[in-house]
Amino acid sequence: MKYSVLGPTGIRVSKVCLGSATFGVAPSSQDADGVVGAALDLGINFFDTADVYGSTPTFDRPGFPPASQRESAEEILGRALAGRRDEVVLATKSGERRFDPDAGLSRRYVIQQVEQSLRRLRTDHIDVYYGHFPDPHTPLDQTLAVYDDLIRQGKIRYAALSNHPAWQMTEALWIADDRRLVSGPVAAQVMYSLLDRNAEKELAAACTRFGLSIVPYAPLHGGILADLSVLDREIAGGKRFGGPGYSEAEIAVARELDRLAREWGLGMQQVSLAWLLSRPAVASVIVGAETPGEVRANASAADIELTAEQLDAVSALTADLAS
Amino acid sequence: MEYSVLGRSGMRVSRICLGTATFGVAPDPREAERIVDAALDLGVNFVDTADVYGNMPVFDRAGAPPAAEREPAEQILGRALRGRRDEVVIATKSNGITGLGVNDRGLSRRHVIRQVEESLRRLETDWIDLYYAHDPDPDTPLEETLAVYDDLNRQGKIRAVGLSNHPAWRVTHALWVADERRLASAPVAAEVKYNLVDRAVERELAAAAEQFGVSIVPYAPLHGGLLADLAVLDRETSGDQRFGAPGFPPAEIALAHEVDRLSREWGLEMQQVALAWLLSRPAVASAIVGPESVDELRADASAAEVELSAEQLDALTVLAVEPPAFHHAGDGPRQPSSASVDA
Repeated sequence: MKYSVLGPTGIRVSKVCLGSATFGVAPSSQDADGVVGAALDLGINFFDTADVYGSTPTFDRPGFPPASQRESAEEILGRALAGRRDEVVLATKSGERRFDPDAGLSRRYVIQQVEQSLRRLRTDHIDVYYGHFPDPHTPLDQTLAVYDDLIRQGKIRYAALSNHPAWQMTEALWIADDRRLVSGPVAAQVMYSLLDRNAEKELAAACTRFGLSIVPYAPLHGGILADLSVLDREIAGGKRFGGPGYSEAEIAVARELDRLAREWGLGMQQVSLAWLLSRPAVASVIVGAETPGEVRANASAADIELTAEQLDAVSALTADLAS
Repeated sequence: MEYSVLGRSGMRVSRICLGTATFGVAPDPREAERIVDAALDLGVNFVDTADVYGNMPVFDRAGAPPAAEREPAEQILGRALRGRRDEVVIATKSNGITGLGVNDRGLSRRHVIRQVEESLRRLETDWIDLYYAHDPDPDTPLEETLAVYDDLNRQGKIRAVGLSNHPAWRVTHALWVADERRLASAPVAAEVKYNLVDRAVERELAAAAEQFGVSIVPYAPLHGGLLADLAVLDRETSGDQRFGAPGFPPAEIALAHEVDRLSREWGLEMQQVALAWLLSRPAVASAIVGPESVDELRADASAAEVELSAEQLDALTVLAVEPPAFHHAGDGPRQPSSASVDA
């Protein structure tokens, strides 16, 4: 495994981060131990979860218990990490309003969620705590002030923001600087892959300028950039989160990428992830492996170095998405 | 004419701003003077120029003299405004390439001061109301540029600062720098390409501008003429061809046909509809039009008086070629494909 320094923190995180959004579904509660164990054995030390992962209806799938009967991903992850908590950099989040109208980034809600996450994760501190989505009803300075207090209380180590536009990342740094907070956001977690390059429109330049890390989620665009056989699966891509399947254009790009990967004697997921890890400011990519085999396949990408020509060839496949 | 307050400057600017990029080409210098006169008579008090407008080769066109034989747009504008300088808010810019020297560009203190002095001379005035950084300069820290703008403001040579073609995060950074250093050069306006066809601004800048009280001043609000009159499709030189680039792609032409159809249905001119829609968007203060004749100016200026209903505005807003917004404003993430969750 290879490691990156996360933004201005000085801490090292594995270039492949294990996501847990679908814990409790795929992998099931029982199989999650095996997935987490495989990750730890491979040197993965960065684990990403959220208060709403696992047991919200987003992740419902035919053949699995309904959301209300599933454990939360944090509980499953906390159990799987028992005894090895010190080895990992644990990231969680709060603020998704999709299923909870009271959710947001207010002081009241954030503190409540941190307390609950600590209990579910069976730990006394969270390493990286994200604002999951912008909250139009809570001024950013309020949220950053509560993160500052939580850092000083020792409940979280660093604050970060997910799904925030570049200008709000910049505003957050401004507020942290102006008010002498311990920490501005140290990382931006956003959807980013060869098939979704919105992060390159503004965020990449801002994070490079200010020394923040980008931590992409959906780096394999729901599987299609890992293996074309996902096209035969019942549940792939956005469908894992209740969305639609893939467009013709996306499938065409994936076929081209598959052709290049074969030509280079590499796995398609290796090429996808190695390309993404080569992009400016990207520190670690969050993979949503459903089995230990998928963990191993994804983790192997951290050791792949593509040549400048290979990276250019991959970039060129979706150059139109970058501007 | 209707007016907007420009950002936090307190200055009132007409909702239609007269652009001058092609002054000296189309309109030729004499027609340009007539356009400026007519604009003032219509209540247009906002004029937009730049150190590089008018006599750069990108504006070359068949039938017009070559760049080397043309006057700068600022000079034509300055002459046209003689005796009426006090009536207008003049915006100009620098950072474009102005010569062969390695320092004849950029946002360095050295170049900016020299360009301000030259603009003042060409415009025949002793102050510029709004001074823009024309584009970001990767070689000069923003702090350096804002410091020189601060000095120019205190010297009385400029009144307010704008940023053109800057991403939202840089506009935010500029506000941060100005705040932290107590500079009188916090940007009050962001000039960017923005129209019904090109809505990239709505990804980030619109929200940032609203949050911080910065005005958006769109250029190319008619997308190079396409949203003014479908007849431009028959012209030799239209759209970005006016600036040496290719013509319109089919998806844009299809959108324009839709706007044309709606305009006819509503008994309005297409350019009125396109401009009125743009002026209804968050943070937009004034739209910069580039009329090539007095008639075009009158047609554009009439848009400031048009008020579209909420239903009409919605019918236009949904025409977007690509979904513009960052994928989760409002009360929760947009469903479904822009998924809210980690893989």
